Amino acid sequence: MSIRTNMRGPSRPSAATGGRVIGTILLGAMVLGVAASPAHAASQTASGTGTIKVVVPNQCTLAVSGKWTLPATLQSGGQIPDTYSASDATLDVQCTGDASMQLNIPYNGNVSGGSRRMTDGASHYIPYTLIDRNANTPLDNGGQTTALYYDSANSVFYYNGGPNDGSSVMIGVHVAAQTAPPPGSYSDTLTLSVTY
Amino acid sequence: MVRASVRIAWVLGVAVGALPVRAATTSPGTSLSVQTTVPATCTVGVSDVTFAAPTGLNISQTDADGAATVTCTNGATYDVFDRGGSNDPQNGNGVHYLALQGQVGGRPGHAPVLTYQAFSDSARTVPLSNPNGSNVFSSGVGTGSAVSVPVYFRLPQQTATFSGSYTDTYNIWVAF
Repeated sequence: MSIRTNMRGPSRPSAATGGRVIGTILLGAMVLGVAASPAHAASQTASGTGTIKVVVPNQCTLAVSGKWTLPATLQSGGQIPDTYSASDATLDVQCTGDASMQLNIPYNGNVSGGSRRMTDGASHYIPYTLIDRNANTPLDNGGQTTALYYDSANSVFYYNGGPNDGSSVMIGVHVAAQTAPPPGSYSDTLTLSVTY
Repeated sequence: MVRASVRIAWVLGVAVGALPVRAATTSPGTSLSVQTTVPATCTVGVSDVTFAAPTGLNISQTDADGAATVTCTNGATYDVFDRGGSNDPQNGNGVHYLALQGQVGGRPGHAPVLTYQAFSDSARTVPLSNPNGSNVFSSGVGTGSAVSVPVYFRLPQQTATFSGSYTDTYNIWVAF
């Protein structure tokens, strides 16, 4: 809060002021009238200012659209060939600030032996790994959660160390060659979170 | 004899020349008046107002109250009028702007902003800034004591694009 007083002296008689001074006075009156329109012909003003403030906390939202899709037919002669996802899910992370954010993809109930698995719901599974599609390298690294750094300014993911890790990460799915399980529709659902 | 006469005349001349000085000290005195004029004065202070922090990206409508404290000398007639926020654009429409601190510009179109409004009534139906009329929202006669004139602020529902501290400086003047 601040207080300031601005006092103007009384007006001089017009006969003693001359046209130029009168013009200045009239201009001042016009400015005051347009800006403030006080009810009476005030000759002095006092001003005060206050700070209006709101603090918006940093917050992130995560939206997922699409899904990782594997070729419709995986089985060939009782074997699943080495396969990569044909299309990828889209992860949209939006945050109110530029604070560092971490995308977490934890293990779920279908995981066994540190391996993510799709299931047909009848206790049949197809193991898979989350990979960096740029390098076709695993992202899980044996942990319970895949953690990636998200650079909101450029809308890209990095390994947990952030941009210092070097190249960005494009998340994909890899199914290694294996014996095919019984025919059916296999899927897995991942629950993602953002830490910021 | 001649010499004696000259001496007398010289003495008289000195005496006559001193007479006007003594006469001035005994002439009738002139009056000296002492006076001063105490001008009407007013001061005004405006309280700082902080809206409750939103919890999400979408900011819900939030209200906060402030006040202008006016102090005028006894008998001074005054009007309290609104001068809007320092971030207001020219020819503003009564909408004020909280600018994200640390950003260049601090005006609509130059930096992330949030809008807010100021009202003279608690129901928030009478905007304080009326570009088409008088901005006077309170008047009175000074008593020498401070008078609190409430100002009601509202942060309407909107979406923030960046986190951080958004501020504006609100200006209220008193004409007297």
